[in-house]
Amino acid sequence: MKRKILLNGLMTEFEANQTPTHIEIMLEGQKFLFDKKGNLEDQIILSLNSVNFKGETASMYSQSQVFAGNLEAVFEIPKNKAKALDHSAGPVSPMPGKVFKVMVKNGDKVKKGDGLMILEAMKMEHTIKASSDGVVKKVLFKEGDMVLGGVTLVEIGN
Amino acid sequence: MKITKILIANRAEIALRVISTCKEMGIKTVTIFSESDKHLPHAYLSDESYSLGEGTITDTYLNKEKILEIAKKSGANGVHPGYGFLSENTTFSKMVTEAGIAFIGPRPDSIEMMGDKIGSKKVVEKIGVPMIPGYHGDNQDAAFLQNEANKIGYPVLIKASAGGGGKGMRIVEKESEFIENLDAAKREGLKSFGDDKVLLEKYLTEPRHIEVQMMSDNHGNHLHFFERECSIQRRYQKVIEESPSIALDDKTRKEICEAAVKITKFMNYSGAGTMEFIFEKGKFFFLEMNTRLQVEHPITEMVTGFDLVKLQILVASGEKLNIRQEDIKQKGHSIEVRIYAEDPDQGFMPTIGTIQGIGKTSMKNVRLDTGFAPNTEVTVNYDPMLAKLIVWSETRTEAISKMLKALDEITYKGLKTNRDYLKRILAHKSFHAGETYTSFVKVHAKDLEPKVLTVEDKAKLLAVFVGLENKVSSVGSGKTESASYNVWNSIKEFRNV
Repeated sequence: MKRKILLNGLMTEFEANQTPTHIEIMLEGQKFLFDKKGNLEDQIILSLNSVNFKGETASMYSQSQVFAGNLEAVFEIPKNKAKALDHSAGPVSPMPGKVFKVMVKNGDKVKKGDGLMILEAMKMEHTIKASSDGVVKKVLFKEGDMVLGGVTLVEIGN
Repeated sequence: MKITKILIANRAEIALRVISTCKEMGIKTVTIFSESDKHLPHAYLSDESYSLGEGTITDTYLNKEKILEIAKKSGANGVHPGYGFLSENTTFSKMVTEAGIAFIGPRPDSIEMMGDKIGSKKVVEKIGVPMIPGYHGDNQDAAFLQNEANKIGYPVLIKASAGGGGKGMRIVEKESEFIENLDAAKREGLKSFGDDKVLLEKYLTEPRHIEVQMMSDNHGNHLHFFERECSIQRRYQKVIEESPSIALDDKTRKEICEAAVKITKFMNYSGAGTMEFIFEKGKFFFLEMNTRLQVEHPITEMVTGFDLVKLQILVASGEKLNIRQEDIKQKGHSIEVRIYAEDPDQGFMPTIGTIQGIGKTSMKNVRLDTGFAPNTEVTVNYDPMLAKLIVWSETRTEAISKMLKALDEITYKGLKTNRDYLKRILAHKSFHAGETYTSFVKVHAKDLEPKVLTVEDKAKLLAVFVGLENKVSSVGSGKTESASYNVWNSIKEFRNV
């Protein structure tokens, strides 16, 4: 099955096939065949050319964290283009923090510069403002939610 | 007074650290926690624990009255302040002492003396411990300053008194270049700050941060537990510490430790403390003294075999330490790294998340001091330090390779940490060579960037992802309820919003 994923932020196209005993990865014109050695509760032991390594995954908000031997990477499902455009109109969290206050609701009309949300981060309050005139399509977080840096907080459309 | 019950006026890893020694000594423990910390182990791993309620740090861990009230109510007869928070607050230590409770730390006069950064330097200079050579006086006569610069020895740094941000700063390499640089610094000072007054200081090209662990009792015993080198820092915060320091030979080690003891003797100090020095090319200069237990104390415990918290408690009980200086020896090599919830590749921005798992290691002489447990949330409310990982080995080289292995195994699932960055520092050839100057992470910034993944690396990561994506994991959903979920689906779900 051909797939696409953002690996540490870089678009990566690959093909994966899996049997109960093996995982095959096709990437950049090369084929890698992994033996499944062990399968614990939330870990997997794989082997590539007889070299064993341990794998683990964890969720990190909208992303996944993947460990393989001494490697650690962040995986993310790529957004489709239409969505990406929508998102680009919305304001983004400047750094990780906590949503302190939400000042708008879905359907509200906003003008450029209007306050949308107050984010509490690094012991300071940051007002998240609308970057353009428009209508609030979706408020993506509620008060008390923790958010990562660089995440769209409110979707604004025309 | 025999201490039988200790209130720990702190949180996270240091609270657990103190609990561990108390257990060994048969002492009961009382912990305090803010409401936002109520899921952290320090809120329940003690014999008794009390909530400080909600609110800012001032309302909770810095709330002296409330903490003292809890100490009284619980019947604690000792208070351990840990580090940070109220550890060097004399108002608090006096309040505790006046309530008839032992404060496990130095007397207030010692804290006050060392808390005054300029005053303490004057005192220390008087008893003959070297300072960074410099001239900070009012005489601005060019010939006079030239003479002072010659006395300091080149390279000399000329700084505009009112300066900042590198303006009005000049490094003078040799005597013949002093006057032209002085004129330039004065001109820049006048232009930028309206003031042409300058000060002179010895310019250090390869400075290291070396500190000496001190412990004194109330019976005139002033001991040292040798040095730690903590030169690897980012934004003035230590990240890697080791003991012994590769930069000291036996003679210099003896000198620096004896100088430190001279200061504790002079102050008639009591309890644990750390004497910080700047060290360069065989010479050391006094920087400041910290009148508390230090974050990096475990490496000293690993190489000397003493439990410093235990000694603190004994001293505060008024006991005499039955240790002679010659009984304290450094054995082997210990390294500590600080695991922070931060992204070193994004300007060390703090990260948040729910810790879904912490890796384990079966190696001997590896110690993980942490205040977090799986399924606890890391927020931006407190210091980003998640844990301290400490290893001990016979030699420095072995300790480095052991730490690299331990860092591979001690994974933090669920949030980004500086783990990989620490590995990059430890694996750097200059670190191996012991060229550990305080400028290390800046000078080697390029080398410390994340390594580019090979095709094989990527394939391995993808194989793990594919191999685990359809497995139900026992992981929390980021909100600590233990709902089972599938990594791939959870991503899609989020993106569907």
